[in-house]
Amino acid sequence: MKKNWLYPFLFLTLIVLLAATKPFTVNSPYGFTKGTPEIKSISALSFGKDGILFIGDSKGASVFALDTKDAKNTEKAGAISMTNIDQKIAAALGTQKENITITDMAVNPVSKKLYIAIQNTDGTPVLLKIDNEKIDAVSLKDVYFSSIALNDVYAEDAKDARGRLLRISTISDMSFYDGKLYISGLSNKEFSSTFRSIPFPFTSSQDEASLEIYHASHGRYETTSPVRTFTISKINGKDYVIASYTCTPLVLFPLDELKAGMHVKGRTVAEMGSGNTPIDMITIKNGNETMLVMANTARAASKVNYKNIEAFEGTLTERVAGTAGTPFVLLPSLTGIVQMDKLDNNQIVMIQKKQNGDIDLLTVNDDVQ
Amino acid sequence: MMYNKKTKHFTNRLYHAYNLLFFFILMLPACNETQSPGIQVLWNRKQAVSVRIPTTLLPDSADSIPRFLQVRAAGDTTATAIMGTYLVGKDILFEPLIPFSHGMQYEIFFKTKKLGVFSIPLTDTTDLPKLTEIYPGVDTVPENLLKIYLQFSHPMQEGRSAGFIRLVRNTTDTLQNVFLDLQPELWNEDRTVLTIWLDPGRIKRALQPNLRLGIPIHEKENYRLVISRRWKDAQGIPLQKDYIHSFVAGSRDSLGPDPSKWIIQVITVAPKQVIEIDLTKPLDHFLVAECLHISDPKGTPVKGNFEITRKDDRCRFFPEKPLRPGTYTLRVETKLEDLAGNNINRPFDRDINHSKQPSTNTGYTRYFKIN
Repeated sequence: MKKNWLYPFLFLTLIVLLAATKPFTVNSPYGFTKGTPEIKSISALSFGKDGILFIGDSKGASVFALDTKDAKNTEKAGAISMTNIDQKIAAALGTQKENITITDMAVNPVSKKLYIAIQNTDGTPVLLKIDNEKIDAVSLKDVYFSSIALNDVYAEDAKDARGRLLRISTISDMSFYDGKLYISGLSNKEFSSTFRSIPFPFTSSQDEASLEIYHASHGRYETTSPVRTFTISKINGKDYVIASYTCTPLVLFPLDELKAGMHVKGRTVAEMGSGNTPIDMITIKNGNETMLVMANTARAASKVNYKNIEAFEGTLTERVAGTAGTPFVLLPSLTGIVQMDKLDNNQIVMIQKKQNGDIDLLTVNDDVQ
Repeated sequence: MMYNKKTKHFTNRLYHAYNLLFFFILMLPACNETQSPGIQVLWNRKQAVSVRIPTTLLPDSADSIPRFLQVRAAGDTTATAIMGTYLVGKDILFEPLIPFSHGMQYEIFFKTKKLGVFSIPLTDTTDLPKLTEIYPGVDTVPENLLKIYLQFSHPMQEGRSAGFIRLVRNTTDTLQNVFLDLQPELWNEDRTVLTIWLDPGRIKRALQPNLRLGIPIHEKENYRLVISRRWKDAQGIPLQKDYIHSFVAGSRDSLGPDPSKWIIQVITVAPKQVIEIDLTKPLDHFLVAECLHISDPKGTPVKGNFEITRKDDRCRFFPEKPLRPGTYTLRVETKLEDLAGNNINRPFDRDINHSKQPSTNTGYTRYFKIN
């Protein structure tokens, strides 16, 4: 008699237990679950395929992959612009422009829409989207996402010799390339400048290589300063990480050497001037030429022809004053750039601080001077 | 058993009492605002996180309330609706994406009809942000001064220091390019201490910025460090006044701290025995407490606190427990720096062609007796 109800009861219990332990799992090719990601800060944004947005969280020492559901293809990107964008964002957040900081922005390469990360004065991170010159909030509640906690990160209170909290440089830049998310920043290892590669969809796997460069304007080898910005491109048919650091050395690292546990020495192909921090770096087409464009804090953006990078075979190994190595040109109209990304192969979208203090969002073409 | 029941009952009552108290405290700031009757601002950790709008304020025909309801910043000529979520229940709760800002007034509209206003008070006037200390606090600093620390009473906004700090020579001449523009800025964990660096590229001789612009400050010149009242704390409350710190530049200092010359003595600060160390010259305020360690005769670290005097040339160690007689050890980490960034092993600006190789020691040890 007992057996009559015991098995159905156990079966039902099992179903209830399963439902209770995995309530939100959906059939997603990327292993996403529905919920509210605990994002403590947005240090970097980068898009993958199908409208997947990677959110780098230095304070939380994690990366989140968010399904933006913004995967409708737009063939031709229209120019994006908005004057006084900081003021307009502040109004939409119900605050004043002095209370917000734009921490990063990224163009969705599928929809060509622009995503902007904001940090409120109290540290609250906010994700926004610019759609037809309208500011929309990107909800981070009840969304489909996955995440991975980064290994070997600094403790929350660890400081460098200058008293700076090291955790905030855990993620300095990110880029998705050929199925992997690449992250520059710092680790807690002896050679703390690190380059992480994480296969996506996320598993437990993540590789870390440490980086070393000869910084010609400092006249020494360096292993502890993080890459500030990088891009991944082919040079002479081979994949390279093209990276730049504070005081603006331009350095190449072969992508296939950046594997777990490796200590990789980069090839310094240019010194682009001290007293400056590079902000963003993109690759665009200019007629038949391929150009690297880099935005800077202390001077106009610089443009380097990939042909010149390919032609520079050596590496700088002697102390230099001023600039040296691969030739580049400055683009005087691109001064005061706060954020920059590629809108498509021939257009650059940027946030620019004008001389009168206004902060505008604008788009320029590949022939910008 | 009886005891447990009683305890549980008491705990429950205490729990409810705390809840009531918490609710009361939450509601307190809302009482100070200018706001229309019935509209209630809700607070969490001193932040205005949402506003409750009674449905009685809405027109009867309000069928799709969130679509027509807007909260805006008062005086916003663009009439931009603030982004957030509306929860419709007995009342309507609007939760903005970020908390409402202190010192701002807001308006609630249903279509074109203004339903009411509410404002967020600047803050409790007894709890305004202040600049509490500037280090180094001495009147005369070496002309190769490397770092200045600003200590605030509250966590501050980050990323904006360059706009709020000025160095003025002889009261009128605001100096350009004297500070290192670092992003991210050098804040401590709770964002109450900011480290600002005078440009090391200008201090280190023979580097390009030094050759081009010279050192940032010069011997025998008078300077004023001015901190603007416009600088806001993390809650958006500005400092209430400009802070001015005057100093004179003295001669260049190329000699690092020398623990062998320090005078260590045991004094009595009633009722305790205290170890006082004369550092012989001003050192980096925050590194002193971090780099000095005292061990007892068995080698066990002695627990206690260091206090550094205003001039940063003397410190006192207050042990948690009375010290027993014996020989104690003072260990000094060699990363300890003076005001010019010279540490125990090497000067900050070392001539690699002529000066001797720096030491690679990690610590320096002194012994002293407690009788």
